[in-house]
Order: sequence, then structure tokens, then C-alpha cells
Amino acid sequence: MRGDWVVIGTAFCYLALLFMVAAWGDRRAEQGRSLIGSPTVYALSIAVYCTAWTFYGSVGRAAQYGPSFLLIYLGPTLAMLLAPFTLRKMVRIAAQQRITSIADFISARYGKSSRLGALVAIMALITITPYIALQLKAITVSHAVLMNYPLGADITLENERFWMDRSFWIAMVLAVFIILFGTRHLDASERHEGMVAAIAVESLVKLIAFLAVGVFVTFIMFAGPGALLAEVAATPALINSMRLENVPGGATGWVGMLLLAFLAFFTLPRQFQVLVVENVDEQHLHRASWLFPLYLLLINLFVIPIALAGLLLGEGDPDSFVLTLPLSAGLEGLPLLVFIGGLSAATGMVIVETIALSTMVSNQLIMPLLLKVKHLYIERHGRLADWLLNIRRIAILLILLMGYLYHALIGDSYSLVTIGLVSFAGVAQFAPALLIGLYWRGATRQGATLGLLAGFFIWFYTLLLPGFAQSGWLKETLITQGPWEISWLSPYALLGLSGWDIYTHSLFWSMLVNVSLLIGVSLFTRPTPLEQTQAALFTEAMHPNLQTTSLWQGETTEGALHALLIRYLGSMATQRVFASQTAQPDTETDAYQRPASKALITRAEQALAGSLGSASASVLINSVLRGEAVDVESVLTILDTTSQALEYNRQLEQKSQELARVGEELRSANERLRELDRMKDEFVAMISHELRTPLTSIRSFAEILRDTPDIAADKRQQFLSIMVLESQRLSRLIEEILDLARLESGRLTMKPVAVDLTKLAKQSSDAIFRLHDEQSVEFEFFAEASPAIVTADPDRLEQVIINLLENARKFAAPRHPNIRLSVYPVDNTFQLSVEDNGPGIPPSERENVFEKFYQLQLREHTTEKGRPKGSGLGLPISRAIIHHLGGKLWATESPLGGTKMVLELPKASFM
Amino acid sequence: MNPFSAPSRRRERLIALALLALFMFCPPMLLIVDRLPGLLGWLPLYLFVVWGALIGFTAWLVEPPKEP
Repeated sequence: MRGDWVVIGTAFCYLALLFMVAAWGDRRAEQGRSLIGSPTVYALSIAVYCTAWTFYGSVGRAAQYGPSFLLIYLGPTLAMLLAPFTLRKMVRIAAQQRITSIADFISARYGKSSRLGALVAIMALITITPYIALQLKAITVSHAVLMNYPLGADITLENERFWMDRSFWIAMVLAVFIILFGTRHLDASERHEGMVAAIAVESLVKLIAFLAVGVFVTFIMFAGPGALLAEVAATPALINSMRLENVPGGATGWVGMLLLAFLAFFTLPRQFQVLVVENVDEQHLHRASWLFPLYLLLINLFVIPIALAGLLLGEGDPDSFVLTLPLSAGLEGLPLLVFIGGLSAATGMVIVETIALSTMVSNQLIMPLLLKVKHLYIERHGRLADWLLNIRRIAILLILLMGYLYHALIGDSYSLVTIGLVSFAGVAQFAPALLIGLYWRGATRQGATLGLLAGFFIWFYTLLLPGFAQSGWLKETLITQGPWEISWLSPYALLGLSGWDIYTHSLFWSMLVNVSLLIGVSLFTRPTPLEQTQAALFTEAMHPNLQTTSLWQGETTEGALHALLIRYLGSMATQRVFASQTAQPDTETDAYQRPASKALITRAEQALAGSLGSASASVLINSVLRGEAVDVESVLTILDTTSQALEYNRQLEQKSQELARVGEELRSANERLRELDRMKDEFVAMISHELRTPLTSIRSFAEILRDTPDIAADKRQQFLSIMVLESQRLSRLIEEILDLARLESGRLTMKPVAVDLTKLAKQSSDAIFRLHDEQSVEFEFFAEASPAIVTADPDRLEQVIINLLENARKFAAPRHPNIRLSVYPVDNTFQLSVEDNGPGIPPSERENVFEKFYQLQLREHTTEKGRPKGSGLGLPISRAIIHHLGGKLWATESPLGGTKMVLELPKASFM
Repeated sequence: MNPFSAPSRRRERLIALALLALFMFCPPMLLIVDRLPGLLGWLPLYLFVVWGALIGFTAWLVEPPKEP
């Protein structure tokens, strides 16, 4: 029933299905209706992380080392949690710079260095080949288990020539598949949409297969997890199998493995391919940051039950429990599904990894070499595009062959997980150059190169070499006693550091040396201008104002660029680059003469970078440019635009705003000072005038009296009384000026007490009108409130009332003077009004009478003796006093025909 | 949630969640859980529960709220 042809037929049907999915995905992409424009597909494609190693090896590791298998998945979970900070930046840089692989990324970061790119590519090849071998081994072993059960898998694997070896043919079939789908476009930074769609389907298939076998083992072979655990609890050998003590290296080993998986998740070439290069939309990272960890959780959910069940039933090699358990139950369909699941896990990894590696080989290894051979890129018009694709195809074939050879020669000595972890530790060496370079602008090419080399050497010495020794290629004593029996050089216990598991041990030493050299050397080397530029573009990639154009300073013509692109990319891609340029038809010679814009040069470089890698693109553009490629000034411009200048600008703007505000304040203060100065001058002038008038008259009369001794007695009497009056006027004026000065400077002291306004008004009017009885003034007094208690300084208030009454008397009609004084309550205040039947004040002048020295220009009053009746200070002083007491004083029209002065004071609050 | 403060707060919350996750998956917590009394040990269950909660929290933080 379970014939060889059924299994092989099913496998080929599955591959054909993948083929169709990929073809469909590519066709949809060409029609512009992308299949992979969904965050869910993106998350599923990241699940290429789960290889055959997960599918078969997790159970094996769980059976041997307890829960430590989970670390391989917890590391990426942490990494995805940080995706908005790290991966998002990488995705944006890759899109801006048309990055094709992790080697290209690191090379571009450190000044588009082709040597560094080549170094990373070679290291990736060395570390990943065993990993590809692991996948081939998994497919072969799982097939053998399926065919030979209940016999061991090893029987058919021995004593066969390579053309009889299934893994060889598997490798070749995969190579054809990958060549068909991985090398359709030259532009490696263009997405392999068909491939990504196929990988997403593979992720679903392996998940379903693993869940199916998990459910079968847990719920059908055993009656649920409870029953399974009960049996485990009854088996003393298994009781402690899931405890921390089973984890190699204990707590230290745990942390080391977590860190290892975290770093490798960023740096595995296939993860970089699906996470960064194949990313369609930055926003997809959000969904992936939880959906991918969820996928990992689901695919690991049944690992422990299957491992425990396998251990309970004693079903051979733990790496094959997933297959042998359903086989032991006598099933036919489920083992086949599991085989297909494992096949999908393995092929998914091999497809993406090989495409990533072949891109690195062609762009970072072969292309720079080809560019060194001058005649190649000068003479081979139009053919290089095809050449490059063929290079990539051959690279795919060679990588798979290398994987096969590794598998055939030494792969058998390792268990699945061991090979995987050795690869993880190898690619983790890229992490310092990648992650530190992403955030620290100061990291230089020399630092990165030395760090990578040293870290890689230590990895090689502490993990790979002992692996060879275990395979029998080297003496076992290398591990146990160290080379030349120098114990402190022992690969698993460098400098006597023992007791750790081998991966943590290797990771510790290699990372220590790698990071130290990267930082230390960077601090003492000077980056080239191009390196500085790239460092700025990488570290400031998330800056919204980042400009990638106008990096090129040299000059070239459109024709030269056109010829260059045609030679390397073919006419289609060249047309796309020049699409916006050909607005008006030009003759060939015109186009050759016209200088290329900086934007066009940048676009051309990006297009070349997308196909050949950034280092080669930089070399090629330089070959057609006259003059400097990038000078220090343009580097500085970039550094400035990115952060510093913006910061300076912001500060300057703030400063200038402050200055403008201070200037405005100063100007208004200056205006106020000038106004005050002018008022002071006027005031002094007016005071001098006012003082001179009475002085002049006193002096004149005094001189008359001195010069004419025989003056008539009555005349003398008259003159003397005028002099007395004028003196009084003068002293009153001086008194008033002093009052005003005190009031304005705020030195006037008042002693507010409760005062009866009515009583005060009566008192004041008595004083005035008894004094001037002879004038026969008709005086009326109305008190509507008695007492009318207000809070005021009685002396000052009396001064105001007397002033008002005096004014009224002066201005009342001379024939029948009539004055009315009233005190009455209004709301919360008491008002005192003084009215006269004089000429009144026109409404426009009513406020002016409260100005200092303001004299009403009224004919009736100015004619008499030609001078005003008042000093012009009484009302301003009165108003100032009333304001001081919290009241108001204003002028209005009286029913008597003249002026009505109203004084308002708040009622005193009785407390 | 205030739409204006949402983006910046999300970054901070994610960092806090990552630190919390690191703490939950590292030795002090592990040793405590591993030493809890129980025949088979609680470590695997603890890891899966914390892992699941972490995924739930992340989804809650990063997924935009549904339009009403």
C-alpha cells in the first residue's frame, strides 16, 4: 500500500502544486493584482523560519533537552516585539537603497564596500551550507523512515552511489524549481512574489501537518494530555524530563540560547530575504509582530506531548518521532501528510535560502570580480544582463550541490538541531555590524570587518572545528585536550571556561571579540566620506526629511548613463529609469550631450543597485562620472539636514522669536517713557506759568508801593489786599502741586475710617457759605440718606467737597448764583452731587476738565481780568483722591442748567 | 484612547512589553517557576501561558482599533 511510488508521486504532486501557486503569484504580480499585499501572507512567509529542523528536530531536542527547544522560538518572539524599532528601519533603508541581501545591506552601510560585502557573502555560504545539508538530510531520512518502518532509517542510506542517493536527486529537483522561480527577474530587489506566495502556502501545510500529528498523538493514541501526563508521571525516567536541569548549561545556557535565536532571526539570510527584501509594505510588520509569534506558538504546542509519547513508547530516534508515532499506530494517510509537512518545511527553507545566497554570490562575489576585468564591461553590450542571470542560476546549482556534499560527507554525524544551532551561531556574527551600524553612526568599515573576521574565526574554532573532529576528520583529542595538548585552547573550554553549553560558550567568546573589535577599532579609525554619508543615511533612516538624492557631485551625460544601463539591465529596465526624462523627443546626439540631472543619476544608481548590489552600482556610476563622486561638503549637507541643522534652526527660530518679543516690549516702553517725558515738560512749563502769574502781580504792586510813597491810603489798602490774595493763591497752588506730586508718586497717606458723608457735606458747605455770605448765593442742601457712612479719610474727602463747592461758586451764574448739594444712595454706593446754574461744560470737554492745568475756554470767564478762576489742579487732585478711596468722580449736566459734579463712594461695609 | 497620543505611547508600551517579556523568560523567574512543587514541573506550562499572553498583548497594542 505504502509503495515507494505513492510517496514519490505525492511529493511531486505537492511540488507541482507549489509550482502552480508560484506561477499564479507571479502572473498576478505582473497584472498588478498582487497576491502578497496582505500582512497575513507576510507573516506566513516569515514562518520560513520553521524548517525541517523545527518540524522534526524540535521533538528530538525536547526529548533530549526538555523545554530548551522553545528558546529557538522565544528569541524571534522578542525580536518581532521590537520590529517597529529595528525591522521597520531596516525595511525602510532597504527600500530607499534597493538592498538585495544582508551582505548588500552590511556592505552598503559601511560605504558600499565591496570587500566587506564579499566577506559577508563568503561567511554566509560557509555557515548556511550545513543548514541546507540539514534540510536535504531531513527529507532523505524522513523518506527512509516512511519506507522502512519498522526497520531503522540507516539501512538504505549506506552503500549507495550518489546517483542512487535520493538526497542528490532531491537537491537537483529543488535546484530546477528555484531556478525557475528565483531568477525570473534580474532585479533582485524586485520581489519574488510567486515565491513568497508559495512559501506562505508551505507554511500553512507544515502547520496543518504538525497539528494533525499532535492531535492524533495526544487525543487518539492517548486519551488527552491528562492521560499522557499521568503515564509520564508513572515513569520515573521521564519525571524530570521537562525541568530546567535538563537544559544544557542550565540557566546560563538558557539565556545564551535565547540571545542566539534573537540575533540569528535578524541575520539568517533567508529571514532577511522575507523580512526585509520581500516586504511589500512597512505596515505589514504590525500584523506580523504578533501573528508570526502566534504561528510559532501553534507549531510548538504539541512538541512536548509528541516527545513524551515517543519516549514512553520507545519509538527509535527522537528526531523521527513525528513520523514513527503515527506509523506505529498502523496509519497510512497521516504519515504521508507528515512527510509532506516535513517536505514543505525543508523545501521552503532551501528555496528562500538558496535565492538569498545566489544573489549574494552573484552581486557580492562574482560581479565585483567581473568589474575588475575592464574589457568585459566595455565590450559586452547588452549581454551582461543575461550573464548575471546565468551566474545566479549556476550559483543556485552549486549551492545545492555544496549542501549535498556536506550532507553526504559529514552530515550524518550531527543530529538535526546541532547543525541548525551551529549555523545560528555563525550568522549571529553579522548581528553586531548590522544592528550597531543601524544605530551608531561612528561604526566604521575597518571595525566591522575586523569584528566579523575575529568573531567568525572564533565561531569556526569553537563550533565547526569540533564538529569535524566528531565526524572523524580530526582527532578527538582536539576537543578533549586542546590542540597540541594545550588545555586552555580546548575549543569547548577556551581559557578554561567550562561548564557552559557549547553554543553559549561559542556565542560568548565570539560576540565579546566581535563587538569589542567593532567598537574599539571604529573609535580609532576615520571613515571615508562615502562611508560617513551611508552611515548617516542608515542611522537617520526614519527621519522624515531625509533626502537620498543629490549625492553625486560629478557630471555625466544622459547618453552615457543610458548606455551603461542598457549594458547591464537591458532596454526594459533602462526605459523605466528614463521614463520621466523622455518628455520631448530628442535626437540621439542631443541626448548624448545633455548633462544628466542628479535625480537621474541617483535613479540610475538605485536601479543598478537593485540588480548588482550597491557596491558594484557605485563602482559603475563612478566609471561614467567626471569629477568627484561624493565630496565632503555633500556629506556634511546630509549630516546637517538630518539632525543637527534642524536642531540649530529650531533653536535659532526660538531665539529670534524671543528677540522680536523683547524688541517689541522695549519699543513700547520707550514710547511710554517719551510720552511721560513730554508730559513732564508740559507740566513743568504749566507750573512755571501758573506760579509766575501771581508772583508777577505781587511784584508789580509791591514795586508801585515802594516807588510811590505818597500813594493814597485807600489805594494802598486795595493794593495790599490784592497782594495778600495773590499770596494766598500762590501758597494754595504750591500746596496743590505738592499734593499732586504726592498722589502721583503714591506717597500720599490716607487714613480711611468710617465717615458720615452727609455730615461732612454739611460741615463743608457751612464753612464755605459762611465765609462768602456776602455773595448771596442761593444754596440748597438735600440729604436723602443720614447717616451715609462711607470709608474715607475725612480730611481729604472734605478737601474734595470744598473744592467742588468752590468750583460751583466760581462758575455759577453771577447774577443769581444757585448751588445745590445732594447726598443720596444709589445701589451699593452713596453719591454726592454739586450742581450750579452756570454755563455748564460742553459734553466733549467733560473729561478734559480733570486734566492738569486744563482751563475751560469759555468767553464769560476768560474776559474778566483775562485770567482763569482756578489753578487747574483742583479737579485732577480731587479725582485722584476719590480713586484712591475706591470711588469715582465725573461731570455731567445739571437740571439747573450748569454743571453737575457727581462723587460716588461705596457704602462702608460694617464688619 | 486619545488619537493624538496613540503613536508615541504605543512605542513606549511596546518597549515596556519587550522588557517584561525578557524578564519573564529569563532565569530569576524561570528558577522560581522550575522550583514550584509538582511532580512534572510547571516550566513548559508557564512558558506557553506567558508566551500566549505576550502575543495577545502585542496584538492588542499594534492592531488599530476597529472602526465603529
